[in-house]
Amino acid sequence: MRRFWMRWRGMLWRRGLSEREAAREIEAHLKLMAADLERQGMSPAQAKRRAAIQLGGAEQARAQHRGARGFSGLEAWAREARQGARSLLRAKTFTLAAVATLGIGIGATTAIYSVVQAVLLDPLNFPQPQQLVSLRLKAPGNAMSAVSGSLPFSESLYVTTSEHNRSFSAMGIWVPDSSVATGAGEPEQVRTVLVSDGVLEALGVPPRLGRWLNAGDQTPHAPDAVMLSYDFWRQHYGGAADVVGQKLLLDNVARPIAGVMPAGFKLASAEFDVLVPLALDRSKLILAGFGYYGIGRLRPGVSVAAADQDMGQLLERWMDSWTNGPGSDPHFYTRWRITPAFEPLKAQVVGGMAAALWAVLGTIGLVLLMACVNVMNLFLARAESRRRELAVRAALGAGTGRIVRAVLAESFWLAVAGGAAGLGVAYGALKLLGALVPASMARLGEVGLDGRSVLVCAGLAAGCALACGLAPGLQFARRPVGLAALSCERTGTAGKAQRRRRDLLIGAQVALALVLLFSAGLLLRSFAALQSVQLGYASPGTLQTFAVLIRPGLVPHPQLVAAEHAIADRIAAVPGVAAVSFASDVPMLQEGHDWDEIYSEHGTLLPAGALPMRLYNHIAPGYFAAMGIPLEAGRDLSWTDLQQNRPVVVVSAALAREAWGSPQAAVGKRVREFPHQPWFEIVGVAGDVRMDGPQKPATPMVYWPPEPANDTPLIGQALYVVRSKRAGSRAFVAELGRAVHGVNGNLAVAKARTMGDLGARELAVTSFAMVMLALAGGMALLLGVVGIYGVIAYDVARRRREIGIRLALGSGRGAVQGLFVRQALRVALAGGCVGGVAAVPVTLSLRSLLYGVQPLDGPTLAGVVLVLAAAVAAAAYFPALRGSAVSPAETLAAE
Amino acid sequence: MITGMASERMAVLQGTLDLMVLRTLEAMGPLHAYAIASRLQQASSDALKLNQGTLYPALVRLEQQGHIAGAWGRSESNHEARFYSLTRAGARRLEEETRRWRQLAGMMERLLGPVAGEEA
Repeated sequence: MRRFWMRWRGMLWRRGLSEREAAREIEAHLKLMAADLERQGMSPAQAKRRAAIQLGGAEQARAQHRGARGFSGLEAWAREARQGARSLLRAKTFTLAAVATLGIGIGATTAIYSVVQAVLLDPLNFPQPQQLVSLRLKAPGNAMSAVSGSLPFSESLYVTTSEHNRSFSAMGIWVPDSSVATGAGEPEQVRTVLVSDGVLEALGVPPRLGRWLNAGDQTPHAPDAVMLSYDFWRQHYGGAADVVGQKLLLDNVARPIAGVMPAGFKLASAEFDVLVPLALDRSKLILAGFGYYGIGRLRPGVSVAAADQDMGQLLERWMDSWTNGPGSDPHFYTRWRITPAFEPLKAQVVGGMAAALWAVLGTIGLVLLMACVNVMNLFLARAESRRRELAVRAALGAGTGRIVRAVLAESFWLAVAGGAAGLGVAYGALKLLGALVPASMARLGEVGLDGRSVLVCAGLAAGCALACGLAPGLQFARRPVGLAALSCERTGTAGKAQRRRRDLLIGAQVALALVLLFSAGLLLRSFAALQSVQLGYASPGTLQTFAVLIRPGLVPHPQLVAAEHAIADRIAAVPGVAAVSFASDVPMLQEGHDWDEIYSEHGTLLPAGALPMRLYNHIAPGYFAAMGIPLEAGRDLSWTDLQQNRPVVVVSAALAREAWGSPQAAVGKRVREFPHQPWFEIVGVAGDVRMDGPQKPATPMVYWPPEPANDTPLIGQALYVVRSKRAGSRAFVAELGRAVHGVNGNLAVAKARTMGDLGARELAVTSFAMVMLALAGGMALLLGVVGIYGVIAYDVARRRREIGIRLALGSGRGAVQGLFVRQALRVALAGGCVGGVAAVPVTLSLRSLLYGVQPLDGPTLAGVVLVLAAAVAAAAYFPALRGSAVSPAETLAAE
Repeated sequence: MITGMASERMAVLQGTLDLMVLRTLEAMGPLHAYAIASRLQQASSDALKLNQGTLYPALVRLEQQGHIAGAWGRSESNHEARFYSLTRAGARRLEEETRRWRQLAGMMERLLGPVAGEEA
């Protein structure tokens, strides 16, 4: 190989020079000869012609000259490449199989690489993104935080931190919200983000037009300037430059537009239409009110750990500075054990995607490896069957180098075709991915085939070509074929080295397929487990939800619930509606759920040391019926209760059991939200509901009436739940919208989704990983079966004579078939053992995606082994069946 | 049955052309390709069927193996030409090949016997 390389390099180097030299030398030769002939009496013209004939034609001589120098440089490669292309075009089946295999493998890897690059590798779209941190807090002492894994910021905590920290050059808090924009056309619910001072400064993206919201905009009761997103600006103002200074009517308040953010700007991961200043009123702040995301930009040289420590020291100061009202203990939060757990903003944006994506990339890489192995195998088999041809070529003087080159030239074309096919597959796969997994997965909108993806694709193709072509090429370089070798090759059984190679290929394919199928099987079982989890309410596909936002001022307070009730009545009249009601919270709400304290008059509501924190919801009568949540004891709230202002409440079964032992025992007991509130009597106990989808357990919950006996309307945004077979259809949603407008033309309908949509979004990452792994596993199985089939079929063809002898000696056809099947299974068993060991780290890394099944689940493994064994046996049986159908007399006579 | 002048002339036995070139260069000193070809024709009394073009592969091969060395110069008729001369390695190779050729020739001679070739 080394000699081969040096020669070829030498050729390239010397080629131009030697070609000129040769021409010059032949020219000289002709002149000398002509001069000689002239001396013998010929005319100059005659002499010249004669000399040319004698030399055998200058061109021919030059070619001989060249030939003597061995193969010559690029020209020979080009010739070889042309010949390779021709020979591939002749072997259509081989070429098609190889290109398709490579194309799928390369394409899938390129597609997933593009996703990984956009989601995980590319920095966030902010200046110096590595300085940005998400201000995440943990509070293991708080039951709700312990479940969700984090504690949001409170307003007062933000004020203390932003004033006294030494870690951040800018920091702030933000929370997504929604408002109704009125103006020209129908009122529209818009996505807003409330931002404190410091958020835009921390992110550092300059506005496209106008200015950022600044400290002046944050004073309460100021003119309240807002900023627009690029898309909102384009859609509602046609991209007009004079938008700055105009007024936007937001929740019936005219607000001046301060500026427009550039295209593609998101607040961390949140998309929005309008940015609204939070405008905190410091005189009204209390310790509590944990509902904000925090973001900060680290000063240069400050680490995340140092910022954590800095923040930890400020917590005491925060508790010293604020209170939750007279008589409350400000150091109560010590028991929550609040600790900062800041993380790079990217970690927050990417979330649970990282593990899934790496796992998918790894598995797809394995599939590519299998594809390569398969194509290599095809090559080897093809080269074996061309041994005769190659041996003849070698005997006629083609050097080993030429044969290696011939194989490499073919693999070169396969790489070109496979790479091109791969680009097509990647393009299609990304389009499909974009359609299947909507924007709910972070940063997926940024995925595309760019220059780097194409480069990766080309690199993969080149690597595959080398891997596929070099192995058979080297085999010939090491073991040159001679005519002598042919005679025994023709009839003999496979040599030991060949058999070992073939066994290695089968084993490797089985090992890879096992790893992939096992992973896919685990995810499949997780998905099935998640699907079969009882959520506690009616079939999600039949539950239509949408939001109606009624901002203060639009409807006077006392009539608020009545207006919402009127909307529900109108909706009940829409054809196909089985039940309707509304609440302040519904399961699987992306914004999260509210929780607060709850005190009980009698009973041990709380185990010692625990804190009285429970989820709460404000519901209208009929909510349980509309949602399909069963009542385990007592009754639902009624409109009569509300009209008479009766202090009544419903709790969840989990809460009832926790506090009073059973749902029945809870009825008649009294609870309240704040220490100085009147007591509320429990009239009913509702079944438990998994509020955050099947992966999170059902949490204890309190269902208060819409306005629990004080004058603050608690439902600013009513979430309607409509149970109907028509849920999800566009026409149905339009009819619901008309019903709402029939009550008040200024109301907007937003976030129309079915509970099923919400659930699918919740499972997006799991189902993405599952679909990808299942696809990868399926491809692996297919490639493995095809590969094994090919190997065994080839083996059978080679051993025709041996089979003939066995049959002639009285062996049954079944025994001969069994021979091949047993041989394949034996090798597969060894491969399966290797795969089983290799699967351990792989499935352990999938742990975060699994639900209701252990990473090393025995039954799944057993199932996969059975499927694989059946596939291997089938892949070996069919070629063996065909092979054993030979007539022994015929086979032996053929020799 | 085709007979003629050409068939009377001997084709160059494979492997012997190198030996002939080396021997010529040893005997005559540096020569250009045309002179080598002329000398070979002359030495064999024109019995050798040598396409002058086939000389080049042999020259290139010998030069690549380092047995001869080529250099540009002027012929006696003042034509530009490439002159080949024997290297030390070439001299050794010549010695070796000559011995081997003599062995083979002697063996052939003994094998074929005194009367072989006298027939007809």
